[in-house]
Parts: sequence; structure tokens; C-alpha cells
Amino acid sequence: MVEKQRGMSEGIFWVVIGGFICILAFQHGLGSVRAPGPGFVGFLSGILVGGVGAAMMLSKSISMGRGKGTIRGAGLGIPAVSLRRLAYTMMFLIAYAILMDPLGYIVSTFLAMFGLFFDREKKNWLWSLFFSVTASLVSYLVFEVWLRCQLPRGILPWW
Amino acid sequence: MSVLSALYYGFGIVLEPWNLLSCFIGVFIGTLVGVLPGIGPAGAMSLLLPVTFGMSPVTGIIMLAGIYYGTMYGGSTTSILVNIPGEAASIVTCLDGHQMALKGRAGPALGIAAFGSFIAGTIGIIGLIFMTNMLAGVALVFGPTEYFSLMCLGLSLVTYLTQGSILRGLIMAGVGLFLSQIGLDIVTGQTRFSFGLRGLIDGVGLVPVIMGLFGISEVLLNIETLGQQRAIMKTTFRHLFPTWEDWRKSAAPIGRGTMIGFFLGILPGGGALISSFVSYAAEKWFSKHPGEFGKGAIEGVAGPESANNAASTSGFIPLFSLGIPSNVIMALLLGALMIHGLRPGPLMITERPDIFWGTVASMYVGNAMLLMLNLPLIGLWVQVLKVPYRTLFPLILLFCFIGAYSISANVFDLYVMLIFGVMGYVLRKKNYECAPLILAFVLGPMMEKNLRQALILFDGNLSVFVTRPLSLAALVISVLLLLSAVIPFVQKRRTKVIAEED
Repeated sequence: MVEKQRGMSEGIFWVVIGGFICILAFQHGLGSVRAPGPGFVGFLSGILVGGVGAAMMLSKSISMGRGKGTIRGAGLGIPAVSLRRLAYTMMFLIAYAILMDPLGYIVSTFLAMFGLFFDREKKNWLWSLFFSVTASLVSYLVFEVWLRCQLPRGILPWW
Repeated sequence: MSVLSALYYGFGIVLEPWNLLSCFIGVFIGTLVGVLPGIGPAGAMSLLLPVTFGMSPVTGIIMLAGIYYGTMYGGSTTSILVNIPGEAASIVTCLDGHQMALKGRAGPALGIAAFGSFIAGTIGIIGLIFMTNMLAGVALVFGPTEYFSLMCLGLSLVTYLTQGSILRGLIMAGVGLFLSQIGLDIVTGQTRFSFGLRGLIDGVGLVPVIMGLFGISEVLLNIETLGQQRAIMKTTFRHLFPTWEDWRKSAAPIGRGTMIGFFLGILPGGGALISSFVSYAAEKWFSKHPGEFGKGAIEGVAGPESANNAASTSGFIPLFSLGIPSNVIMALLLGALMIHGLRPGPLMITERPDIFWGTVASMYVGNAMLLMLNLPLIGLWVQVLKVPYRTLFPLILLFCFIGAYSISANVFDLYVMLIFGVMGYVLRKKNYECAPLILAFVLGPMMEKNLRQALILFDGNLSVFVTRPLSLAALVISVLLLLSAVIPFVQKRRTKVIAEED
């Protein structure tokens, strides 16, 4: 029963997404079959997503006969420890993306790598420091100096 | 230009120092990626895609192709020694390869995997040369209707063969198609689906999407199990070379595996994974002692390993001859070629022979390099397996960030990558496959162009898609494939195959 409800809500979600895509496509102009407009293919993709979502909603079980699929599909099933780890990693990744332009590549990479290498259980400060400095400098030399990628300079414009 | 003189020309290109170096780097990284569980070939190729921007197109493609077939080689090492497949196509090698290792025969298992891969790869290249030329000649008469229908077929096959519910595969294809529509309209130049964001005016970038869906999401999934140690068995490699008895048992499986892999690799959606499973099933069927399979039969290693390498070579045929990628890896290569300003298709062999023949010749050289890398360096690869994931994952994330940023030096791409990373994580947790999304995303603009061209050309006459034989055949097969998934018998069979793969 719970599985059916999950299938229903999953289907409803995709019907809504499909409907949203169709509305957007309609706003951009569908054109005609003789002269398709900018939203024509987008509309078809919306129909596909919404239509399959409706089929999913109507079918009794979304993954008939797939025992493993139903188990894996039953919620995200993330243990609390893993969830904390994920949140911690995502926090550093978002901060890295935000700070890359203002702080520059070397400083932001050092900070992000330090946070990611740091093991909160083992408190390995020196180890994290060594790896984050090495990773920032080596990647800078390889990508900026050798491969001439344009990485942001930020607060260290002479680099 | 005859085939031999063209091949000679290709070897001239690949033996240039930079190309030779990029080939070596490609196969080395490919083997490393194959050895390390958690980074697939798609992830590795997308990570290194930005590195190729500073190179000439041929050098870049040689390196990316090297990563792909290098992964196929390297994947067998972890399957045999740790019972963890380094990449999906080596799953089946675990069954007998690890059993052989447990019986003290890790050396011959690794040896036959490497030799079988080398033989299959070499034969596959010969087939690639002739089939691509032949198919490219035929493809010159294809119009937009045929191209559109063939792309529909490719997408249907990939969706059909995804692990999990076919409905979920279709939804992923629909989402990928929609994402491909973001940006400027190819006919009117009007901006569409950009939600007023300047970063989306040129569309969503391929590299941030792939890095998010494959790189970031993979790391997030692996972080969940951080701290779990992999058990690596202690093995000595004194007897690395297979015995004459091993060769006698493996000769036919290598031959059959090569044929199966080659032909399944050409089919859209076929690829290395399916061919290794089909080869394993075929060997079990042909064997006089099927009961030995799963208990350390060398045929169970030789066949599938040959098949996945032959398939990785023949997968290039539809890309080079039709410009249609047959799987997600080829979609990535297509993206790479397009970023370099090239358009694969029937005219590429004549217009840019350096790309085609240079890549083909690099495969010969790369296969030889792989044989030399894999056998003497097995000890090193085993050491690599001991690197804890805690040390690896920040570096993988760093590569993702550099890769996504360096394409257009725009932080917006980093946000796109992170959004797709979280999206990929949730989708994979909910048992959605990302391959149909990526393939639809890459094929989307081409599908749109051909569909709109066909409709304008034939004055909106939709029957043109079913009155042209090839287009009709492709569409009928697509519909039958998708319908067959809801027929109880076929669904049961498909479920069984997927369950075995799991």
C-alpha cells in the first residue's frame, strides 16, 4: 500500500513537471506542423515526461517484479551519520563555488580542500594542511601555468 | 586513399610525440580509473575533457578514446582481485575471475583478461575500419527523416536497456530532451527556457551536466559508505602467463566474445556491459561443463573480457559514420568533437581524415601500451586500490570544479554542476539511470534540427516518417521495444537480466 502511494506521488511529481514544461513551451510558441516554433520540441518533451508520469501514476507498481528496485526506491534511506557527512561536504562545495571568484583559485581551493580532507573524527590537522596546500599548488601549476586554463585570481592578482 | 595507405597516414599522426604522449596518458588514466571503483569512464572523460581544450582536436580525441578502452582493461583487475568491478562492464568477470584468484590462480586470470582484451581490441579495430567506411558511404543518402528516426531508435534502445523501470528511463530521456532545448532557438534565434538567467542564454553546458550527474553524484553516493575498508587479497604474481591448457580453453571464448562484443557494440545502447553478459551466457551454453561456471572457469573470464573490449572499439562505428552516439561515452566523445568545432558524420572521414585515421591508429598503439602496462604493473594497480577514498574524493571534486570552471571561466557553470550533482544523487538513490538523460541531452539539438527540417521540407507531412523504409524500420523497432517492456513475458525476462546484472 505504502509502495503504491509512493508510486502515485512519484507519478504526480512527473505529471506536474511535464505540465510545467508544456506551459513554458506553449509560452515560447509551438508554431505549426508545417513550421514548428521554438517551443515545439520542448512541448513534446513535456508531453513525454507528463505522459509517462501519468502512466506511472496509474500503474499498480512502478517497478513491477523488481524487488531490489522497490527497496532502493523506498525513500532516500540515508543514515544520520551519512547525512551529516553529505551536508558537511555540500557546505564546502557551495562555499567553494561562491568564494572562487572573490578569493581566487588558490585561496578558495586551499580552504575547500582543507575542509574536505579534514577528518572530524581523527582531527588530522597537519595531514589536511599538507594535502590541501599540495593539491592547491600542484593543480594551479598544472592547469593555470602548464595548460593555460583561466582560473580566477581574486585577492592574489599577481598569481 | 586505400585502407593501408590511410592506416599508414594514421600511424604517422599517432606517432608524433604529443599524440603518442596523449595516447599513453589516456590509457594510463583509463587503467587507473578502471582499477579504482567509484569513478567510471564517463566521469573520468568528463573530468579530463577541459584538459583537451588546449590540445589539437586529434590529440584530445586520442586521449579521451584511450581513457575509454583503458577503463575496459583496468576494470578486470579489481573484479579478479577484490571482487569489486572497477566499472560496470567488468561485473561478470567477478563471477569466475575472483574464484580463480581464491584458488591461487589470480595471475592466469589477469593474464587471460589482458591478452583476450588485446586480441579482441585489435580485431575490433580492423572491423571498425571496414564497417565505418561502408556505413559512411550508405549514410550519405540519409535525409533528416532517417536521421531523426535513427536517433529515436538509439534513444529507445538506451532507455530499454537501462537498469530499472523503463518508465523511469523514458522520463529521464524526456528531461534530457527538455534540457537540450534551453538556450537559443536554432531557427529564430529566440532565447527559450532560460528563466531570465544570463548564464542559460547559451544553453546548459554539457560538461557541468555530466560532471554533476556522474562526478559529484558518484562522490556523494560513495561518501555515505566512507570508512568501510575494501578487503584486498594477498596474491603473488609469479605465474602471470596462462598455461597452454588455459590458452586451449580460452581460444574459442576469446573468438566468440570478440564477435559478440563487436556486433553488440555497434547497436545503440548495446555497449560493453550487455556484450559481456551475453558472452558469459554464450560460453556457459557452449561449455561441456557449464557447472564449472561461477567456480573459477577461465572461459568465464576470457569471453566477457574480450567482448567488452571489442564492444568499446565498435562503439565508435555509429559515431564516426553517422554522427550518432551509441552510448553515453560516445555521446561524451561527440560533445568533445563538437567543442573542438568538428561534426562527426559520413563526411568526416573524407573531410578530416586525420581525426578518423589518427584515432584508429591510436587504438592499435593504445592496445599495445595497455598490454605492456597491465601485465608488469599489476602490483602497482593493487597498491592503488589501497588508497583510501577519504584521500581520493576531495581530489575528484577538485577536478570537477576545475573542469566545469575552465570551459567558459564562469562561476555559473559551477552552480549548474552542483545542482546536477544533487539531482543525480537523488535520482540514483531513487533508482533512476542518468544515461538516457545524457544521451537525449546530446542528441536533442540534432533531433530537433532534423525533425524541423523534415517537417518544413515535406510541408508538415508527418507520413514521410513512415513512408521511407529506413525511417519506418527504425520507428517500428523503437515502438516495439518500448511496447515489449510492458508485455508480461518480456518484462519478466528483462527483469531477470537486470537482476543478474545487479
